[in-house]
Amino acid sequence: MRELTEFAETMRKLPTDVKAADVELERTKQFQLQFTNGKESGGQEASLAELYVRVQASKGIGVLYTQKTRQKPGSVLNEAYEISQYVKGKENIYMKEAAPSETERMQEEAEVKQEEAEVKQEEAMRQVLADTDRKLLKCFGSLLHRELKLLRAEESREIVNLLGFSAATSRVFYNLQATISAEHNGIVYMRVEDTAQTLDSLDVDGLVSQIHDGIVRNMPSVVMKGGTMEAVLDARFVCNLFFMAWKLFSGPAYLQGQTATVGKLGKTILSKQISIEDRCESSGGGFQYALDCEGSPGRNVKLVERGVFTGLMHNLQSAEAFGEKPTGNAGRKTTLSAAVQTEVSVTPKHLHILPGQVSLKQMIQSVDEGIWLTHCFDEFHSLDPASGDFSIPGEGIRIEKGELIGRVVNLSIEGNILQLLSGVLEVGRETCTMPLPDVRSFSVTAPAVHVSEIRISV
Amino acid sequence: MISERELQLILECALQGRGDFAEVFLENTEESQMNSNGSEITGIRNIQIFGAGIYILSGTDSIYVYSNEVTFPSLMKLADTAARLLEAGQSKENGSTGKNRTVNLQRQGLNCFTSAANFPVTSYSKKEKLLRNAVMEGKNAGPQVQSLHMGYFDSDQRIRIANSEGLLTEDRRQTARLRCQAVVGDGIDNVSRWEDVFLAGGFDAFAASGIYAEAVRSQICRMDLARKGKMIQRCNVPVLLEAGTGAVFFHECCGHMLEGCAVVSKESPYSDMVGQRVASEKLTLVDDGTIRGQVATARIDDEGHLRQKNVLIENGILKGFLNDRLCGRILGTGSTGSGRRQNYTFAPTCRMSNTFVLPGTDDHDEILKSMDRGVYVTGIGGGNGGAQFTIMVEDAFWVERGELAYPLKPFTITGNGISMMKKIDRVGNRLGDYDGAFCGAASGLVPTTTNQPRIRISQLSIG
Repeated sequence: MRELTEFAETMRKLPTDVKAADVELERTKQFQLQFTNGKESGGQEASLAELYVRVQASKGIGVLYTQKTRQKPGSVLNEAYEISQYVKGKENIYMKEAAPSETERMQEEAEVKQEEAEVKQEEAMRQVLADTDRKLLKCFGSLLHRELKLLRAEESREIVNLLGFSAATSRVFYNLQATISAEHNGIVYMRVEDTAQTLDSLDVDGLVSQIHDGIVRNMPSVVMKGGTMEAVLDARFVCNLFFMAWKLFSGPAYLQGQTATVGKLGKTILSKQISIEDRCESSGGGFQYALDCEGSPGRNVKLVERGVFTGLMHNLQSAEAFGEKPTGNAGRKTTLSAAVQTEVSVTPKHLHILPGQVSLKQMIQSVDEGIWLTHCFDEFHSLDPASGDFSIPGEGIRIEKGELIGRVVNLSIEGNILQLLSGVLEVGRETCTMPLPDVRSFSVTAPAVHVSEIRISV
Repeated sequence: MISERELQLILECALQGRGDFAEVFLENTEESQMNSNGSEITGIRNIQIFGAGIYILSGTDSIYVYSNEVTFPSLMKLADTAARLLEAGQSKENGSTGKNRTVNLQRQGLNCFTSAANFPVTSYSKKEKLLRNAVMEGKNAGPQVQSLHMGYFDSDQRIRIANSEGLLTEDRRQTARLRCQAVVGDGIDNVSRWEDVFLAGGFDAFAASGIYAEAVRSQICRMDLARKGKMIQRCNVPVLLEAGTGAVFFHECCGHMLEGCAVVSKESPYSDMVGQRVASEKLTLVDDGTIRGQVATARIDDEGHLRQKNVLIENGILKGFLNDRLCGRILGTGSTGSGRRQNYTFAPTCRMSNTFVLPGTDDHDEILKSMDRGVYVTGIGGGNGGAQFTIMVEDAFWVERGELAYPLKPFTITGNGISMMKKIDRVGNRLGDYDGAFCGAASGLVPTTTNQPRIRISQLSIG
């Protein structure tokens, strides 16, 4: 059912100097169960509706975000209009045209049907948590602490604008998160998660296996000299890098000269081993991105093809500047923020770094002397998309003649992301998928990569 | 507005099952943002955060539900859902039944919502003037500025808390913040950085303080110094953390690991160390949510518990942890008034507030003068807490024979907090200047402050 019909009608009654206006309603329903050390220890249920309202009059754009959704449409739109009278910016609201194509219309309707079909599966969720806990204990009996959270989320979005455009979409996903601490050559603290469209498709075995591998790799630490060396970057490490590095492929940032890729479209910027796509669905199907916050349907975009920079992620504004169709990447939430993020920019949908043919084990075995980088801390403070320069704290395991020797802690890697990925020799075949921590507005799938050199400080 | 009688009924409904404690958290927050591109106002955004959360505990089990549908029927339904969720859980041995409990609310400090009229809405023109002043300060600071974006943010959070222990209370937190985002350089060799001036109180207090003008000038000059700085070479030297916001180091290095939730989950290396030496005997670390005029100060925490001063480490000995109600139950020590959350969409958890290293006995000036060779850190951009912590050093100098030799380019310090704390060999005798910042964790982003006197770490591997 469309909820913004009254807003659409009221919008037409705004003063005549209004050039553009749009309203987006986002609804979130969440249900979460939690197990702590094998027992159900809590849960959460949430229902949230948020209205994003923008009005562009003769002077500028007024923006109102409200959770007071019972307010009259006229009152909300008028407040946004009043705000616009104080703004003198040159920015415009870019509005989606009213008549969607047949494909878009079908896509929207299919999504709405899915929302109506969903029902709670509380008991089934308890069963999944109990099974996961049993498998965890079987895998590693002496965990100091274990906490499992299983979330079911329904998210819907409806958009109307002054051009008469109206669209709605929704999605459902399940997210299983395991946090453990264990004693194995010191304390190991880990958090891993998996996301899927249905409960049955959650990869519980994969999640348990990640925890097992994480504990086992907590080898005794060794001393290693810093310097430039050959390295294998773990899949989780690569995912973490791209939580910031995706900005290299943002259309608006490219237009404003704020990325290290400016002027390089069509050129080789990375190793031929690297291909990157932004997709509407993740490989495991856990994340779907049907419609962005401007109403553009998501479409798959090739960003890098065998090292060549082939495309950008666009919202309506940057798509128009490049003479291209929007890619369904208009978004607001790029990271956890102190302020509600109301500005429409670009966010990835599901960023996919394509896998290769080589196993992680083979890559490690091929390193004569170097490091397997396993942990990446604080990438949000440590990578500058404008220059590509980074200095990222992390942890790894020293490799000698293809063998893992010991853990190297308190290290940081330094360099430039484009140079680093230009030196990729091999790409792994196993991948890892991670959502943006806390916010979950986009997700990344990545394999491990083998690079010829990286600068390590210890 | 939900009446007191309705709040009682909601709490009683929440306790219909096996809950032994219930709480209703109501929030009505208004925020405003104004942005300038250096020459004109490019955006104004008004934000309304409005909703309620219901929290039920049964022993150490917890349920949290929230909604922005704040009517009596919808909150009764929410309470019923929460009670049913708790009832459906498998671990029956925890908690006692709360069936047919009666709640009698006692008003405490109920004056915040009703005094709303005392806080006039600031006109856009006043904020615009402040932004213009800030832009002028930045442009006239001296170094070449390539671009300058200013944002002014203010927030007025009003909360009401009622719980099954009979508490009915309110609080109001006002903050104002200026963000300066600048690109400084000659057009070829540029650096970009943003910094906040974050103060308690509304617009008038912020504008009257005048702190922002000096802060913007200082930021531009420090950015230019960092741009001209030398890359630090790999070394193992003493590191001097300047008085004031150098204490971000302690927030990341050990503060997060002294939050009860890290202790409960066994992530913290301090878990079993209360009463033991965990730091140099020169170090006393406190977290005090009662200090007047700070962004992290409030009369109550987000569970209605009165804020208090908590001594975490005293002369190097671990004294205790920061607890919310739930972790206080699990650890058996009770709440320390540290239950905090960004807003009602988060359940409360243990968080820092104003985290201070108390002044020691070493002479402030002598600490620098007596350094033969080392690094003097004057600005920290942020970091990440944990057993392994990291901080981003944005402003620093190389020191030779007690004098500043040259500025350094930004770099990262990473290390193991517990070993670092034992390497402190000087604690100065006076605190520095500071303002607020945000800390992000499980219950969202909350305002925090840090302060310390000059502190020296005897040896640290950098570069």
